[in-house]
Amino acid sequence: MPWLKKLVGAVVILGGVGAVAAWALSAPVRLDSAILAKLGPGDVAKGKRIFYAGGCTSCHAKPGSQGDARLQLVGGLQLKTPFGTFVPPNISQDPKDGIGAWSVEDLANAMLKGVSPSGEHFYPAFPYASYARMKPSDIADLYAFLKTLPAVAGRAPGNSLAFPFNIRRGIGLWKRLYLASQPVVALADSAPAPVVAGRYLVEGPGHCGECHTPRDFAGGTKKGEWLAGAVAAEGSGVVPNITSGKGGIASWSESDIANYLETGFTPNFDSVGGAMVDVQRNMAELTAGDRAAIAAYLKAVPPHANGYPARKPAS
Amino acid sequence: MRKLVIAISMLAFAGSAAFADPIIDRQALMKERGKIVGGLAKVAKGEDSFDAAAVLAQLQALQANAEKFDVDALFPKGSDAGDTTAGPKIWEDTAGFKAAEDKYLANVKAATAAAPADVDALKGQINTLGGDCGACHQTYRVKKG
Repeated sequence: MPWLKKLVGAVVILGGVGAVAAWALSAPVRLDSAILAKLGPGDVAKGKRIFYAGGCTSCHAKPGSQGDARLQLVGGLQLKTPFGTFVPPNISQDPKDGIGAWSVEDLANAMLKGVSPSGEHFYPAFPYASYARMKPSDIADLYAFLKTLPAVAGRAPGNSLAFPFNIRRGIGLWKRLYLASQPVVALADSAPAPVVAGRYLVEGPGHCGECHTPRDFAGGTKKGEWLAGAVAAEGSGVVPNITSGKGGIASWSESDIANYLETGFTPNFDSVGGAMVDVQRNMAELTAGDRAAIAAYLKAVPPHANGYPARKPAS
Repeated sequence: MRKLVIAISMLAFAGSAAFADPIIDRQALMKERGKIVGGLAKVAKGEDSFDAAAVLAQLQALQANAEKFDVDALFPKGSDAGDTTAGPKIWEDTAGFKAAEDKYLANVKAATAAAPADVDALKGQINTLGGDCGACHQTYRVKKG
């Protein structure tokens, strides 16, 4: 049956082409020299702001750390998600266990492209899909600040993920779908300066969308429901809708939002809870101007109804 | 006579049901707590003027509220089901939950005992108490849809 032979041959060739294509498309892509040239010298004080805006300590400090211990970035938190358990690593200045030996270019490739110094993909639990929108000069500032933090020895255990998510190379394909440096919300040229500044903080370093936006089957954020709230990646709860759509924060004024980020109190004097407690603590370290900018942007984003299913009636 | 017995037992049942809904009871306490803190925070932020006697009365009310917070009575086993945002950790780590509540109560008592004389003193106390609110809600509350 020569036709069968031909068919098998065609399938093998197609399969081979597909595998080669997948391999090529999934290759880690580093930053080009034009971006690296924009890194600049880096400024410690400015980097401190980026550090808190980025929430680095919330995942990379030892779980439950308070006070100065939050600056010991030894890792070890366990993020239990449907994909498996992600464990943020040691990013202290320890040259062996942490990132003390990294160059500023290494940090930029990690944060903007999700690529490690050895050329592997990082898992997007490290929110580089948001950090990719950051300015290179902010990465250099952050690098300068991280250099001032202590070196702490010790390695956290690795991730434990289910197939096929345990195949790192596959993340290359994921990046082709979801990794981009463009802003999510298009703003008119005439948009007020605080809204533009807030967009940068929320969509970039703040990575608010990583928890507040629902995800599709492949784990990418649904841009059509940006910040609409989502089923929490961890545990059984939900993350609130922070647009002005139904179920969201339309009734909050800009100063309500800024006050919440500063003090942790909602307009009804309920308090911040869950994973947002750490985030709010970081936001309190920013300037009043930064918090006002975040508030201005949140009031300007397109309204969406809740991005999570309505609660089942109590039984 | 029989009717009377039935009526009384029904009343008793209705009464106990009204008192025996710990979810409603604890939510009422939490709402009251938020309302008092809200009033104090307005003073701390300078939106309302500072009156030492009024502030102290509010702190005393907050303390009375905190003292009513009986974990065993308000969070019995099984009261994780229903219209509640109480998280499973309350029952997995009851000792930790009680410790968080005790810390809050101790800080409220300290604030009342200190009787803040000016806005800055009150501000510091509200910050401390707000931190306690968040610390407990971080671990022991789960927001649902």
